[in-house]
Amino acid sequence: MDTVPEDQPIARISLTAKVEFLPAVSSFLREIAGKLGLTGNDLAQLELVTEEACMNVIEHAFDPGEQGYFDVAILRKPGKIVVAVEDRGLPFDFRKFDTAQESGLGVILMKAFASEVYFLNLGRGGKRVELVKNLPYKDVDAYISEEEKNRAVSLPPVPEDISITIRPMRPKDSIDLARCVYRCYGYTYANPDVYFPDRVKELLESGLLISFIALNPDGEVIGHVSVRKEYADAPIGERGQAVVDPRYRGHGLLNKLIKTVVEHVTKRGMYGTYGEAVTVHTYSQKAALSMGAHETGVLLAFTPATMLFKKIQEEREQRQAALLLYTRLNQEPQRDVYPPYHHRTIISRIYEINQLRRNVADATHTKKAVDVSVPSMVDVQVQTDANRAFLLIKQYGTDLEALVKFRLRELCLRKIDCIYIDMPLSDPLTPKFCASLEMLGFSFAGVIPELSDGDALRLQYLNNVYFNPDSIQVATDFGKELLEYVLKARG
Amino acid sequence: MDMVDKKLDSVNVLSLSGRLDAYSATEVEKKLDSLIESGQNRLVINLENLEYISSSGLRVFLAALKKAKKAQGDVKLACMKPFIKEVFDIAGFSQLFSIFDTQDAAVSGFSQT
Repeated sequence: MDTVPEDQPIARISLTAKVEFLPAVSSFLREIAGKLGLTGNDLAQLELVTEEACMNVIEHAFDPGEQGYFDVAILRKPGKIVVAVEDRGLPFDFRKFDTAQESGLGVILMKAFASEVYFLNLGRGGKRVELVKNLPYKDVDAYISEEEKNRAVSLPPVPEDISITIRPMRPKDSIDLARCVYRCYGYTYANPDVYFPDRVKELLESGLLISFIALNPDGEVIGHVSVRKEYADAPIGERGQAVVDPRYRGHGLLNKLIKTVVEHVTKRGMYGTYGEAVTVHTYSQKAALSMGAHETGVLLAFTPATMLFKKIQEEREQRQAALLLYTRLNQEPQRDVYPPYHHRTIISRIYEINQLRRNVADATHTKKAVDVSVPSMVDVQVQTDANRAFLLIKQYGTDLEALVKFRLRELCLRKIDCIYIDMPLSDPLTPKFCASLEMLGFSFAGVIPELSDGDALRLQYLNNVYFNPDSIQVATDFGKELLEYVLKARG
Repeated sequence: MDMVDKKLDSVNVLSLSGRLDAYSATEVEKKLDSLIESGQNRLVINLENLEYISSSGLRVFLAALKKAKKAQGDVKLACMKPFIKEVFDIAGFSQLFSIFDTQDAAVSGFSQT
């Protein structure tokens, strides 16, 4: 099983798009997913979301009377099982779904039972829905004793002259990391992955997670920083999971860890790293800024109120904003970019501050027009744990505004709190469509360099989410300038 | 999907076993429709042996509830397994139906109305 590459399916079946073959899909799924370690309620939940996705294909992907086929493939990725439902039927026609009732029930169940959902356009390859279910790995609670839980807090600070070792994290360190995070944060740490040692272990083994840990002379893990990649040869990665044991604060440990991981990925040729720093304080922003990071945007209400972890039964508080930071590591390709005219000044400032090699061009000179023969293509990723969604524009068509409107409404019905849309800045059509998306309620959030074959202009939509602008803390003058712009753009 | 129905006093009890997915939903819908159309609109559905339900199955129950109520009857549900209850809760259907831990309690529910 371990020999199957993670982007290759473990198993695939192809079926006629008829409802009578649904039980065959369920049997196939139970057989394979069961062997991969999914059982009981988790397996039933994955069966349900798979059935909902298959029914969408059977009911909507083909013309009446057409003999259509679809595929169901199962993939094993680090820490999770992915079921992909693919068809080469009609291009996605959102008008068919244009009633709240029709798609409402299925999507509510999908949101509740899948860990993540992706709606992907494969161009001529058709459409693909990916349903992700995290494997039910034991969390840190299973690895630590009652005694260790009770000594979680109020230990005295350690003298600064103590010898500390920093080294790459190995898969077998993942339990010690979980212990460290638990000791420092209880169950309140923002990234839930760290509480599941087996999930971290698989991410390290797959190369998608590059981590460094700090150890005290007793070999105890007291700090951690990582870079997470979307795919193995991704040119940028997301920096995060910064943890320092409170006893060792004031040792400059976070900066040393960041420096080490940044040097490591720089040598590997990555263009840069990006991250979302919290804004309830400015410590992590300052640590990143001191390592060469610069602000590129503000994501209002990005971080869930309960800091994601489900075991926390806190009263609901408000979501928190995050500051987008980019650290340029190696020379990226020179690119022409086409910012919308009304955001041109701030986007040029972001490029200038980040010293990116960009030629800010005027889209009118390219004379690129919308190809009326192609439909718009927008991928959708729903992160159910954090209750946010990302739309990625892959291709502009004349129906873009209507398609985004449909997706937005669907996500709002699912009560997703924050919806982001990433527009390709290398496409001269971006200025043409930006304002019309803003008329739907989106507003400027920032730029993410090199996110997807070039830079992305990110817009944000808050679905009846309250946030307090006065509580957002940013460390630099440019950060404040950007925050003011983002708040003003929201209106 | 196996279905067995029996009459207890003036209440019809339909016991479902197996999986209520988009494929078997049609069969269950037909059964419920035939019961309601023949005037047997006081229904208890025993779900003790129902292992799985999807949104298609939920829609069948909802349609039956509407039809039964229109005919001055009701549909009460009994003996849900945890997964079935979870699906009902998430879909907001637990508020629409009277749900009982036992079949007897569900049947008795009719004598109190």
